[in-house]
Amino acid sequence: MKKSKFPLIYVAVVTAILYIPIIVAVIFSFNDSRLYTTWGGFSLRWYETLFKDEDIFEALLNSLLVGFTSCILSAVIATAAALGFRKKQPFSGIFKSTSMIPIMVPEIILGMAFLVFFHFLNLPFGFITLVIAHMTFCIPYIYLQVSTRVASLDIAPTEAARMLGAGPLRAFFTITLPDLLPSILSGMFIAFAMSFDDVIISMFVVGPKFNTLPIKIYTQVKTGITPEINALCTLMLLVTVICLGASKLLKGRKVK
Amino acid sequence: MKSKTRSDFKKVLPLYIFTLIFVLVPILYAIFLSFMTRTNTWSVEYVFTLDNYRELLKPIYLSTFADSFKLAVAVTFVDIIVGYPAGLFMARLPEKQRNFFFAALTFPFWINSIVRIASIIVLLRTYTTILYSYEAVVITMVYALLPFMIYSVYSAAVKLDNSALEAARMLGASKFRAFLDITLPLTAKGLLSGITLTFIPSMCLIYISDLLGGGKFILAGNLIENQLMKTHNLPLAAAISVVLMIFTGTVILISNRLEPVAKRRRRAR
Repeated sequence: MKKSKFPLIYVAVVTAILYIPIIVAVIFSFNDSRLYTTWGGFSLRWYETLFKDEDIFEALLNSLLVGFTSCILSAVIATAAALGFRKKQPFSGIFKSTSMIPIMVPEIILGMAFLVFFHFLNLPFGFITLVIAHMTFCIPYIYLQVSTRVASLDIAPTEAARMLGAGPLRAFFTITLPDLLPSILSGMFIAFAMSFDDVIISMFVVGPKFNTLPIKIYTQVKTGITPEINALCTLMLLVTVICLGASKLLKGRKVK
Repeated sequence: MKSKTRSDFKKVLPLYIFTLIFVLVPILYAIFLSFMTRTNTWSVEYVFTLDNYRELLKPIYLSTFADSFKLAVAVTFVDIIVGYPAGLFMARLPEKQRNFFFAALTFPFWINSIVRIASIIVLLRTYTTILYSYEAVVITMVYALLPFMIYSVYSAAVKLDNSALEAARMLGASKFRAFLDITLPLTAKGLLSGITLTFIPSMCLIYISDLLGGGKFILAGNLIENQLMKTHNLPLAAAISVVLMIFTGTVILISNRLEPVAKRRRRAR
């Protein structure tokens, strides 16, 4: 059969179109002019405005804090559960599927449920409500990664260590954890990205006094877009490249 | 041995407790709330009523639901037209190119979605006149959800055995015939999951309709947002969510049902 170039061209064009907004944002983040129609020369002024913007900085810190807290707590719960589910557990079917609900139903439904429930509990909206809400979707993402690794885990070394007198914690930290670490980290990486990007669920549980970065950007874009946002886009791109590169290195080490 | 089983149960206990308190109970509470009476702003009286659901039968809500449904159909349709061939073609590329495009399509997901949408707003504002229109909402929605369609189709198509296709062609089936009889049924699963992944979010991505529709186009999701954040009518918001939940469940159920049908059809031939 003759090989046509058409499939390659089609896929390349579709991918390129998906990149247009990102490329435009990167280019215009270095544009001195406010306008998108004219090139006012190379400048870093939008980065300067961005770095001086204290609200954005505070929102960024909040987002990092919420993301890290929910990821770490979720990693503990999800890893423990993945290990526990090696044995048959009562009600495992219902709890396994219920814990997946948050990544299956539309976010808006989840956000609504959290809002009314937290309001019923009289919890103060802010950091705590955000962490709880984000944990609900971080746990399944980490669990999915860790449980596939656990399934292929060799239990012989752990049992040998226990037989030789190592306590359960010692056996876990010296044998099981190092084995699971790459999958835990890659699960946390996905979960963190989801938390860091979440708008809809956060919107309902954030409360009036707290801001996360996506919420802050959302309100800013609603009132008017400045080229500052292009600088932000470019920086996020840079961080992503670095993170993906780091995780690739990590995975490369695991293979060895 | 018994103590060991118990220590294993201790490991799943945190997940059980967390899921129970913060996933199951909130959803059940929301369903319960949809049958309760609203007294005034924010507050609820625990008296059973069907008024919230009756309210949803009013023309204003019905027409919003219908409009949101139509928009979701339009978005899904465009995503199928563009994304289905893209997924198929991608699966046929040599492995190196395949992996490259797969990575390239994942990459934008790591950048904040609002930031990407802001860039679309600017592009539409500068180079077109369609910002704050129906088209703008559809285009942005298509853009945001297209990768999901491509992935779903791709992951089904990449497992496809080319020999069946080649045999059919060799036995004289036209390209179109071979596509209908072999490629389409075998990628139906991917297509259906792609449809689910685009259709449901098209009714729920409230920030896209907010930012690109200029408040003129209201999705089913925006109805919930408005009831919660503006009118503070919690029971009504809960009722809308329940309807949306049932709708989501139905779409997933239908797509799960259709898949064996597609397979059976192929076998029958």
